[in-house]
Amino acid sequence: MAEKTIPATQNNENQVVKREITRHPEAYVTPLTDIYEEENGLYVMCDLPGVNKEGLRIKVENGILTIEGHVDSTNDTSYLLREFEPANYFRQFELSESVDQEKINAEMKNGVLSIFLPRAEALKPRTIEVKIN
Amino acid sequence: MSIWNFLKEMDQLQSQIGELARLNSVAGWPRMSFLPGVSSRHYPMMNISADDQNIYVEALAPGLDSQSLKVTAVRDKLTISGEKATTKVASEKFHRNERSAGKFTRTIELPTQINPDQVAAEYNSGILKITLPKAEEAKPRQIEIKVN
Repeated sequence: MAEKTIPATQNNENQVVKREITRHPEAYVTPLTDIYEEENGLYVMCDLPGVNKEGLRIKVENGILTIEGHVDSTNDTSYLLREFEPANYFRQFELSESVDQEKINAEMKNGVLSIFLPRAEALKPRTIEVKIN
Repeated sequence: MSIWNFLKEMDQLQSQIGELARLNSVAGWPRMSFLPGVSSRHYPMMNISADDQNIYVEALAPGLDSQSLKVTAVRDKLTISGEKATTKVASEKFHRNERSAGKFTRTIELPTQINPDQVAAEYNSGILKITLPKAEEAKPRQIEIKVN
């Protein structure tokens, strides 16, 4: 049974600053995110439709992963039907110490951001051989 | 030992509701959420605008396999169907699972007849943009006014 050994710090979310709280003139929304764990680390998938490479900023600072996406707010055409409006994205996650912060890599494809947070070498599970006499 | 504290519970509930209300509104007006979660809403969400020549449809659909994306147009109906690939990860490995996945199809009725031969569609950074030229008979015509 797979056990989740890297804590996803869901309860500490209140400590992380949400962009909506700050006095920022632009509107921000929280992007939907999947986080799953494999043996070599954590995978983060984030839906950021409308964000291109220039508008995307990802940084790790003091153990906090910040994902920020800026959408080009387009013209003010009059819409016949309007179900969504462009908004910028902002979300932060607190990283566990067991993540190797130097080797994080990110990739953007079709509006989906995937970030790989590798597990620190020292904490990778190792198989121990059992000798039988 | 923890004792159920009614006042504390109510206080928490109030702050949660307050936060929900604050997140979903700007200056008191309810805001349309930019992306719905796993829900029964129409998917994908669309913006439709038009000028004299064309109708423009934008659909918000991140992470689609461009191979599976299908756009069909008949007279005044537009159908978009496709599939967002599911990640093949066992559910117990997920810490957080908010994104939805699966097949979808949505048909919308357009305000005018269109010319289905010249429909152009472009899928870029999670947004599908479709340009549908209006049919000749639906285009506005300038009427000359004779002055005696």
